[in-house]
Amino acid sequence: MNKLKMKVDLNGLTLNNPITVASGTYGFGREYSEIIDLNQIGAISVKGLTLEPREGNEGRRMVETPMGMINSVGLQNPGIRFFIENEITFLRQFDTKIIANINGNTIDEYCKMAKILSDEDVDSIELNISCPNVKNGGLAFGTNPKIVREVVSKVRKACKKHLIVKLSPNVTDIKTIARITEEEGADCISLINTMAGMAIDIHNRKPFLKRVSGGLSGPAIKPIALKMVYDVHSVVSIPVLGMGGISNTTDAIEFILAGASAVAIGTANFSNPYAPLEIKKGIEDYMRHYGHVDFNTLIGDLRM
Amino acid sequence: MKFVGKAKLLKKQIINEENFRFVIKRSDEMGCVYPGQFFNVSASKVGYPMLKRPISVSDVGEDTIEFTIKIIGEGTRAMLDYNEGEAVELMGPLGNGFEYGGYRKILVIGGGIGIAPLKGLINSLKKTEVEIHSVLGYRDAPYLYEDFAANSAICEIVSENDEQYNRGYVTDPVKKMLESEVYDMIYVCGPYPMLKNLTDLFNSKGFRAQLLMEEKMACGIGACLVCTCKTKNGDFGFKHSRMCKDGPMFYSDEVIFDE
Ligand SMILES: Cc1cc2nc3c(=O)[nH]c(=O)nc-3n(C[C@H](O)[C@H](O)[C@H](O)COP(=O)(O)OP(=O)(O)OC[C@H]3O[C@@H](n4cnc5c(N)ncnc54)[C@H](O)[C@@H]3O)c2cc1C
Ligand SMILES: Cc1cc2nc3c(=O)[nH]c(=O)nc-3n(C[C@H](O)[C@H](O)[C@H](O)COP(=O)(O)O)c2cc1C
Ligand code: FES
Repeated sequence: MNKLKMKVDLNGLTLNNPITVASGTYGFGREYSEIIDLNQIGAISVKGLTLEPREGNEGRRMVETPMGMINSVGLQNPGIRFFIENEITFLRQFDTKIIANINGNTIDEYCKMAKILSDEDVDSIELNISCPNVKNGGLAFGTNPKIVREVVSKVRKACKKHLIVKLSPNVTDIKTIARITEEEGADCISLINTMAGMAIDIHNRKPFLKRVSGGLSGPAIKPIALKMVYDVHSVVSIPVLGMGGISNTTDAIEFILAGASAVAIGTANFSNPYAPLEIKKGIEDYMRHYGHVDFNTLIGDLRM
Repeated sequence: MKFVGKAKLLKKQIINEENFRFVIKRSDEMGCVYPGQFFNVSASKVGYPMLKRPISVSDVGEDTIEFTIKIIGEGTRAMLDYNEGEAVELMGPLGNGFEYGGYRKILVIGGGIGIAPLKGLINSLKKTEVEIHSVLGYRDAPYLYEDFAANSAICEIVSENDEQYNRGYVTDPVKKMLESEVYDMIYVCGPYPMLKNLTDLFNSKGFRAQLLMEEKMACGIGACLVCTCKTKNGDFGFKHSRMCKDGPMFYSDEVIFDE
């Protein structure tokens, strides 16, 4: 059997294979390492980190909706220091890339975190711009093109590592945001983060989530995510890390054909912890079936 | 050890309109399964609803595990469609169950479907020398009480609506029992208001109980942080512990209840 080339270069971050796991769905890898072999995964994007520890939102944090779930975890995490001291060495046991997902209340916080992590043993920094901007009435950084430009350009200057910018889908024109991100020096774009959503308990007439709304993920958002990946790939030349509802091989290959250089599995891990491994094998089978030896020849190979 | 895969449904048994029982083939890969632990069980063969449902073990046999399931919504209703002989996809055992070594006299308090995991507990105890007192509360007619009646020195049953039994809530008999008896440990599982009211009672009298708690779950193993239980201590004067991984058993003096 032909040896397949699965390695893929995300513009300075080389993954052993194009399967990664999405931030917030995998903690710091500890729990899933008891179930699957993390060496088989291209990269792990760790739980969203903040400068200080956070206990996250109170009350109910999750409601399941048709083929999806809405979460309002509120970035519960032990803080960047704890991550550096306790989690990096654990993850380093595995032959997988470490992506540090960073979250700030202010641009200054993002920059501080990027700076601190630049001197630590992580492979990439993923700037999550879906966070609420405290100085702008809590509106997400990622929804305003001007603020996107400002935050990406400043973090780029503070960051000596490979920089991924993770886009919010809750915008009217994702292409403009993507272009700005590229112009300001991002090495790679990941998308999509969760979509704003809510669900109401009609019997007590209250929203299910204590915080009223949250982020929708899972198969329900897949077609939207796919279109956004396609759109973004069509306007930027940096690689795209695609995600949003990917649950099986077919989903993953759709994203790759639409232009994703790698994919992230998120919500699917919850129903099927083997999903990343099954999808990896599925992509290899697909490549053999269609005579691809190098994974890279599949990226964006959409025929119109 | 965590098993992730398919296990055969050996027996499906309807208990009453709302509740049914699954007896599942237990595989070696599941390792030891303790009372109070749970499995994340696929609600259907077709993958909808998407997330697995956490279900406690209500008994553990030589090579079987038992689940007792109450039909609550879409997922638990869909589970009823599994046929005997079919494979059920599940993951487990998960979580920290009850601690029960060395106690001589215990009180178990269950409300509704919360009685199921307690049944697993008392059935793993009965061989040893433990005096069991039980208080079981129901909305309507009692079910799942047989093992408690057979193994308890005292077994009190209350029902909100069934006139054959003492009407009311478990808190009434529990109050009386706590006045006249001394227990090495108290075990509780039931709806949130019941856990809260009993905890208030225990706290005011200086007792400590093991509570088996519930929250909506996704990963079931501690990775996604959607299933928190507010507990004492921590950097902020409280801590969001993970129901699935740090629980579902918490001691009553650790938990902070919402109003
Ligand atoms: C550790 C643990 C152990 C457990 N052990 C057991 C056990 O042994 N046996 C058992 O039976 N259960 C157990 N449970 C509870 C069980 O997991 C839940 O009952 C189950 O997940 C419900 O799933 P569902 O799809 O049937 O209901 P869901 O659809 O999730 O509904 C749950 C509740 O929300 C309400 N609801 C849902 N949608 C709406 C809506 N649109 N409007 C109004 N109300 C709505 C339902 O009526 C119901 O009250 C356990 C839970 C945990 C966390
Ligand atoms: C429970 C949960 C927590 C998440 N936390 C984060 C986070 O901390 N940072 C982040 O950038 N994205 C976070 N996400 C978004 C995911 O990384 C991903 O972008 C999104 O869920 C879409 O992919 P999916 O449908 O495959 O899950 C979270 C998603 C879920 C479901
Ligand atoms: S369900 Fe994911 S942490 Fe508990």
